Amino acid sequence: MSVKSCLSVMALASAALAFNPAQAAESRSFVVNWFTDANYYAGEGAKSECPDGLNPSAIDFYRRDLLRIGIPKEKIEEALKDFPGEGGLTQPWVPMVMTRGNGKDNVYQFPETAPDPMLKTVKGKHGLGFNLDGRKDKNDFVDPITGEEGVDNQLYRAMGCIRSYRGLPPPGHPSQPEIHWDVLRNVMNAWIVTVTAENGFQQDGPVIVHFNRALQPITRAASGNVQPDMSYRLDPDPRTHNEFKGKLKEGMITTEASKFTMKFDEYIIHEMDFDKAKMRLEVKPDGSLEGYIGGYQPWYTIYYGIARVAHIAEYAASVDAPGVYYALKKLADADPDPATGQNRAISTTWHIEAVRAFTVGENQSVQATPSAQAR
Amino acid sequence: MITRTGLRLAALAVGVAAVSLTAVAADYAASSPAPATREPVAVRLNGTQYRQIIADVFGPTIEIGGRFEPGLRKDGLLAVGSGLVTVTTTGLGEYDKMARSIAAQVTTEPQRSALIPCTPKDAKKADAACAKEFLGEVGKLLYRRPLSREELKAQIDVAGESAATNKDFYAGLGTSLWTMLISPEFLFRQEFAEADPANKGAYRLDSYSRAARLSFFLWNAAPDPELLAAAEKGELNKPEGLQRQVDRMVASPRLEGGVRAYFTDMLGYDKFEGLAKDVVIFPKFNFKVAAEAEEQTLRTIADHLVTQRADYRALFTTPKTFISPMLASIYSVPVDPDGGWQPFEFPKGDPRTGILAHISFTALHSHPGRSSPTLRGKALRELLLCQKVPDPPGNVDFTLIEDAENPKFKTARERLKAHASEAMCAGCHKIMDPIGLALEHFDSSGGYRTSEHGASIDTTGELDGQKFADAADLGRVVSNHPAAPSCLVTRMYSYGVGRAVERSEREMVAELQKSFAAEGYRVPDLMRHIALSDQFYRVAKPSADKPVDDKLKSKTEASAQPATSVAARE
Repeated sequence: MSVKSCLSVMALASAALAFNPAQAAESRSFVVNWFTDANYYAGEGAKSECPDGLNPSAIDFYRRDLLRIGIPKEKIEEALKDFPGEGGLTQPWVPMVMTRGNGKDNVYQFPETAPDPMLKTVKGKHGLGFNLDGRKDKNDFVDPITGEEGVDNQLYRAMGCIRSYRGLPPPGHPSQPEIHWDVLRNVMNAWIVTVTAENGFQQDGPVIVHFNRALQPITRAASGNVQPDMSYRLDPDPRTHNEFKGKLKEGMITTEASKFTMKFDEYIIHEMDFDKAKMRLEVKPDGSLEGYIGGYQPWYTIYYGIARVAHIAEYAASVDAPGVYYALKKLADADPDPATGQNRAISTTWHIEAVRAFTVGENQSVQATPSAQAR
Repeated sequence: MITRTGLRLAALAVGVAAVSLTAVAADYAASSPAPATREPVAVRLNGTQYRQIIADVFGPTIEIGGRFEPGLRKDGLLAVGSGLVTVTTTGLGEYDKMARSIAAQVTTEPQRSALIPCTPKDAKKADAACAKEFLGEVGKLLYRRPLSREELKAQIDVAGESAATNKDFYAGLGTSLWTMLISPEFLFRQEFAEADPANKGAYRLDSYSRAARLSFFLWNAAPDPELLAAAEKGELNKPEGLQRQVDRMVASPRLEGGVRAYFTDMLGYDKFEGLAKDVVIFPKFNFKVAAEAEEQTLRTIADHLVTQRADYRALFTTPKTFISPMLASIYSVPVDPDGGWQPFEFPKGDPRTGILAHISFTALHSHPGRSSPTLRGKALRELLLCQKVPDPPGNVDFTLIEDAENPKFKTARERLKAHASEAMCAGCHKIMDPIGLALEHFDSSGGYRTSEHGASIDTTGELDGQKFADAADLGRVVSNHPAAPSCLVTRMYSYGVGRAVERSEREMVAELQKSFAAEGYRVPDLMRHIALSDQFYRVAKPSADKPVDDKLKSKTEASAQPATSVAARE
């Protein structure tokens, strides 16, 4: 959807009020502050979502794999003596682990050269997200916040017991996704969510949610988070425009399923591509926005997002790349390949936190707003 | 009387003995309009002036990395205190570092063709003729007067010795330039007096000192070549010649620099350097916001007063300003995100009217974690109305005010009311708090709010009998307050002459206030009147020679004591 049509929708929503002065359409924009894997933290011990424990650290799965391909233990220990060092290619362990599948091929490019290490996956009952397929399958979760059953979030099942991906009690984020987003948001254009509530935000009613990209990057506040109330001009690239129809009920915005694509960063994950995406958002008392977006994503892009960072992701975040490959492949739950039957997409849920922002459309002049009334 | 001997002593004291300035009697290389008696008023250049001079002489590409010493605020102005300050050991180290860096940059190969007017016969040897041409020209601009023959010879000798040692003409030039940049003649604006032939027994600034006072007042910069030429011809001592130069300078775009410098001083913007907010409470406020808040108000002032030539009093009511995307986030208004600084007008009815509602005022006069009606009221009284508020007694109990989370007192008004119930506090708070409370819709970071801890904020009050409803209304009351324009006139004159207004000048200042009002409160006109007044250049009879030398020496030693008597007048 173009910026112009996007603005037209906002204008139409406003025009609708002319017929009923008691209802006031209202648009609010937000810039995404955090966008991280929605990995639910259930507790510790018996309550844990990972009752079998967490997956091993990098040094342990490296030892395991290198022994398996026949490298003598002494040689492995010699190579790992200063693990991880500065992690560069000159470290003796790096070339060894890069070919730890079969001793010659790059294991990140050819993960099936290694056997499935059988990652420990999430066993808990609860998982954040949405029932994307309308079914209640045995592998589905129950959303701990909404109580919705049949929640499809198999990415969480695959990744949730990797120590750096494990959920944390709110407001914490899983550490690796937090680091990933925190670095990338400096070098990518800001993501903007605009909610137009036909009856205003104080009354239930229809809403339109636009999820667009800006032409500017985020600006950091002194706290390190995104500075609220900054102005952004929307990117005219239609590949960065998304529109969701939805409703506002008792303060909660929920949307119908829709396609969602968004340009991400130029380095690791170039594009987010969701099928049947749904959102659940809430405007908080401080004016910020928090919620979730879920959908089916091609699992191989998620894998290559990790594989592209190779041993660095492995040693820094204890992510066993071939293990992730096999887990994603096994847990993929949508878009079967017509030839092989292998599912090509996996259900996912992402946690969104956004702060207030102003948006300026293409060629749109800026109008002053009385600061007393602005918020 | 200050002599070259004194300067040499001073140079030695600051550790630049290598300069080897020869002790001689005053003797300009170029002819001077009249023998100067040279009453010294040594005013230390501030950081802005230092940078401006280097940019004017060598171009804006010269990088200056270093820290300037903080100023001393006296009678409400740093400009007054700058005649009383010294160079500390640390400060000297910084000047030395900056001087070496500037000299090195000026003499680098890419800069030479642009900045050095001649080429030596042999770049590996000394060349006195070329050194003389460069050092004479640059020295005149740096010292704000021509170098005496002996001074110039000493600088050429330094360049020659260094060139011979280094086997590099340009290294020699750099050494000589470095010594000039750390000399008191450059770092201090030294004023010299001469007998006034038209008024027997009276003294006035000599021609070059007049040029410097005029230029620093109107442009916050050293005299340009045209003004120096006028000084050399003695034109600044004649009414028509002075008027020609003043009119030229007031009409120049560089007047904006002078206006900005004055208001930077008057509004106490030196405090921005240390301004910080509690990040947990005000995460939006960072060093960039602080710097841009200062710039916002200075841009507004310069546009309003210089570009628009508008009424000074309307600064307190104008909704027009300039805004950056970062500041817009604090003001919670949309702007062009790629527009950088852009003109902005708050709509009718917006509380953000006038400079009192700018972040620069509300954030600068607040505590890191909470607003302060007291500090804001004090600032308004002292900075804008020239009224002195007594300092609090040493044994005041601030507990009630500082406990912003006390559930018994939700708003600042309630906390201050409880605090001011102590008799020893009530008197002063009565003159500060009501006006500060008008700005309580702005938190410590300058952000807008209507309530504090869930309680509605009351912004009503009274200033010297005039009631107001809120911040915008306070702006209206201040703009109508007779002390606002009269304070500006008094302080601006004081800023120009570098000292408080003396008893004998009160009548003249009153006349300036009248003409300021009669001409529509236009600041460029006020500056013109000040610059054309005879009083502006009048100084007292110089004091004896030796004590002055000693005092100048003490100024350049590592002493933090104000050398108040250096600028002594009868």
